Amino acid sequence: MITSLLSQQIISGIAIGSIYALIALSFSLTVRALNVIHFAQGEFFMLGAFGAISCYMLLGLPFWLAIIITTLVVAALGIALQWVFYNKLWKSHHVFLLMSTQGTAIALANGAMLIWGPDAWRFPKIFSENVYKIGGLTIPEEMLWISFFAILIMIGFNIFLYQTKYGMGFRAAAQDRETAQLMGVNLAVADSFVFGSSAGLGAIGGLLIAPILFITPYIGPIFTIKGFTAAILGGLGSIQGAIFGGFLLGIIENIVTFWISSTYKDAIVFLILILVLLIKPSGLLQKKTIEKV
Amino acid sequence: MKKIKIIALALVSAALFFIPNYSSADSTIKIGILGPMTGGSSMMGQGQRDGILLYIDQINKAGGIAGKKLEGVVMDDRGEVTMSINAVKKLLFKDEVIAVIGTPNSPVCLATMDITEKEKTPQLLMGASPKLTEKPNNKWFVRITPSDVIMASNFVDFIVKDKGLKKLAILHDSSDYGKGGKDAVLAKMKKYGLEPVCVESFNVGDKDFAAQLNKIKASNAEAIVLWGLYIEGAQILTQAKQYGVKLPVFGSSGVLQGAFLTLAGAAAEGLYIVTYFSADNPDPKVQKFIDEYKSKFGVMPTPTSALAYDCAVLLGDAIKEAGTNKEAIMAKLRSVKNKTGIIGKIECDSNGQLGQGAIIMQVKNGKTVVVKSM
Amino acid sequence: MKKNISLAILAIVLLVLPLLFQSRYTQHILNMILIYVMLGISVNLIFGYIGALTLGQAAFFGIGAYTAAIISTKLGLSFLPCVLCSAVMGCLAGFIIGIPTLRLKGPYFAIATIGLNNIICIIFLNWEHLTGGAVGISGIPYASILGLQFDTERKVYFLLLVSVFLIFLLYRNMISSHYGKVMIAVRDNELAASAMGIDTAKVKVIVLAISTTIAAIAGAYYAHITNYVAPDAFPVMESITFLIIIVLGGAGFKYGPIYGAVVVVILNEYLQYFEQFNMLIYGVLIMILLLFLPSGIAGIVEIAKAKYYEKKKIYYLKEVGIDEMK
Repeated sequence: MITSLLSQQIISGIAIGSIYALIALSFSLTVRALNVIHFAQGEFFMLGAFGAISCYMLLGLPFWLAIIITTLVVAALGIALQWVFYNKLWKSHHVFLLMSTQGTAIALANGAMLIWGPDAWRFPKIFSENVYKIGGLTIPEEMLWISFFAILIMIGFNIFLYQTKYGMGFRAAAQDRETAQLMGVNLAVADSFVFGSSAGLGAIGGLLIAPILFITPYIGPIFTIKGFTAAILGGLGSIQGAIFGGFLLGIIENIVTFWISSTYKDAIVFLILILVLLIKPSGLLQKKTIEKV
Repeated sequence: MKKIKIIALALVSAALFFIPNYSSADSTIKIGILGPMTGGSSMMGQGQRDGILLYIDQINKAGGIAGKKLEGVVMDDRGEVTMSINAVKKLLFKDEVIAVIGTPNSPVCLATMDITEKEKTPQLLMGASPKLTEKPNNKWFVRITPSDVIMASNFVDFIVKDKGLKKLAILHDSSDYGKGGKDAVLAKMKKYGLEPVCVESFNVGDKDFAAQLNKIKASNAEAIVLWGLYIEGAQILTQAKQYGVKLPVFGSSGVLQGAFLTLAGAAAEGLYIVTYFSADNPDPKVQKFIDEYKSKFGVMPTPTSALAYDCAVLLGDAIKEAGTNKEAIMAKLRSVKNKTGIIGKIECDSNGQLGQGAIIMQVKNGKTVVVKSM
Repeated sequence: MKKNISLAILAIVLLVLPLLFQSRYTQHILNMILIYVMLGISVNLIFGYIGALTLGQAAFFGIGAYTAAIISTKLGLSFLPCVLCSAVMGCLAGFIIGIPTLRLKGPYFAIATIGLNNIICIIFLNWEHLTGGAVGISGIPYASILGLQFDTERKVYFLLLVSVFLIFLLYRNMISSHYGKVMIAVRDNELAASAMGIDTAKVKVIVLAISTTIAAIAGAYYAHITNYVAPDAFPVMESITFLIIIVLGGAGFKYGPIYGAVVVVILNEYLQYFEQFNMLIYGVLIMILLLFLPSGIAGIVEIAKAKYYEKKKIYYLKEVGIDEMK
């Protein structure tokens, strides 16, 4: 009984964890490459979901087209914000950039409220509603699909970063900007790539979760914090760490709710986060501390 | 260039120092509308505003009250305590409103009601927490929303007596609303000598309820009493269906808000809800309100709009009878007897509680039908 | 000498200000500005002068407010003991939290403070018999000292003005003293500072404790002015607002908190005009202001000042601490 309940919690945790992992990944991108904490990450996530709603439900486009259009539009928005606002702030203290992203978050959430209204939206079910029952465990099929797509995207992204020429260039820029520039990496393009892809990944997270969650303009901050926590748990700035942290956070949340207390769930998660920060600030997955000066 | 910047900055800061005054002619009677126009509870706040503006529009088309037009002054409290204190002081001191209607958030009600009391201005509260009417010394407020105590009491009667269910699991959110409801349900259950088999909570904004549902499933409960808001409510019902929790669910009024029926879809089938307002209530008064609201704003009214509209009607009636003397208005509001509004029976008791009605509805084929009305 | 005259003028202006604004609403807004000045000072000490990016200052603000609220409603103590207890609680919390977390660098410290702020809010929300749960504690009495009740906006203004003035003096003396140089040394180059024999960890923890004490005192005032505390008033968003104040005002500048508090509080009141559009405009304005104020308002004022003295061929070197004018 206990093992089956435990495995049930783990399975439930994996589904939401895959979404946390996607947001954690987009966080990690900006932190790793540019040392920027992007507070509007949850809002890109929310825009991804609303974009899907607009394209698919209101304009009647097919789902795959909705995915492509929304991802591109949100990525373009991320890049536009970078060019208009963030680029000018490089020279200042990094807190300016942080506050600017917070301003972005407030503006995007309230802009979305004006466009789509304050009420919640429901995206039609695009995945099957089947539920698998294996040995007392309940596994909703849509959760499998979401995890599958999230992992697929993360693997694809990883391959792009590690196996292609462009990806290597971007990684080089993340390691050492001056040297990368000398090696012929276009830093402006690399920066835009980071902002664009991190916004785009957030949007994909929103798109994937739209069919199982209800979307309101104000869901952003919760996912920002969760993505953040996941990124730290696994190791800020590392891609594998983000993925690991996302799943870990989803599982911890479910186990804590089930066995300890649903009231203090978030408090316990944050306590674990602080402990991880104190004991192993490089995250649970990384071996050595990377310190950027 | 630098100089221009500095001059511009000086101008901006000079402008900042003169906080604007939007007061208009004295020929209007100003009503303060205090509610969350932005932020997570803006759905309620915007519904509230529209409900009141609908009434103001109707009265002004009919010539106003004693030759004076009504004017609604909207103030955004963002659902935050600190902002709401600034906002209510602006309504009282800058706009000099005759009464304040709002707000749906209980903490904000508690933060502002002491201020309106001190300034001797009537406030019509819309929060649901039982704490609001536990202020016997404050004579300057009435609360329209049927309290959670009334709701929970009628609901537990219905569950235990009419449905014969005794083993209840309580699932509530951790806000003032969910906790107040949980306490009220527990108190009423105690009168029947019952203890819940399982009490679980969740946070507003949570997305994943698998753990709570699995716990309830393992607890041998016969029914779930759900006290929370509609987004989480719809999410819980959907996930309950997925995880095979087939217990009857009894939801609070917060569950039947906004787009709940669309959101929950088939998962809502069979759900019982205790509420004070439903768009499917066949009462002609309710239907007339819904038609007028829809033709003015193009959307369906929410329960908060209905509450706000009733507030505005009561306030308008009090002004008609008592003139613009705040004390007289308050006395009229406190002596409301035997009225029926959109939300059912309205009668003021000694604690300032106005709304007394409760209807129990059930979701059938995607619509709500009245099962029992009190 | 000149400095004292300008201080005297400032003092007179501040004292006369509530008489100029007869509206009690405007007086209330002045009070809010003063509370945010206190909070701004507290954030400026830890962020502006030590460089530790805190996103959890609202937690200490809340600790102060709740301490004052609980003590005054449950034990019936009067205002000054409440403020004292809040200050002690804030100081203790600063030490307890600072000693482990201040070892963390850059974004890690920021994230730890976000976590702390959330944890403390959850405690406020759930420790019901002490904090009143989600509906908080209402009916906190007005501040009163020696039988004088501070129950109108104007009286509160003078009470706050005196307190803010005292805190500001303490803060000014601290940052212009030798210790202030030590703080800036720690901020600008921790490694070099510790090579010079400065116990950087100790400096950081002490400054954090001072800053949380100030935040907690602001909380005690807040509780006695609004007569109500609830968990909603102290979320991470509020901490971010403090940081916005300090960044717009000028982090690491003496007068930064004042400029920032004035702009942010008044801006928010102006925006009421726009009903549901107000937060959108607020967000966009923050982004735009940051573009044009690369070192905050205080930075621009400093530049203007430097230009002025340069024009008059006056030697002006503030950075090294010589504001002697020749």
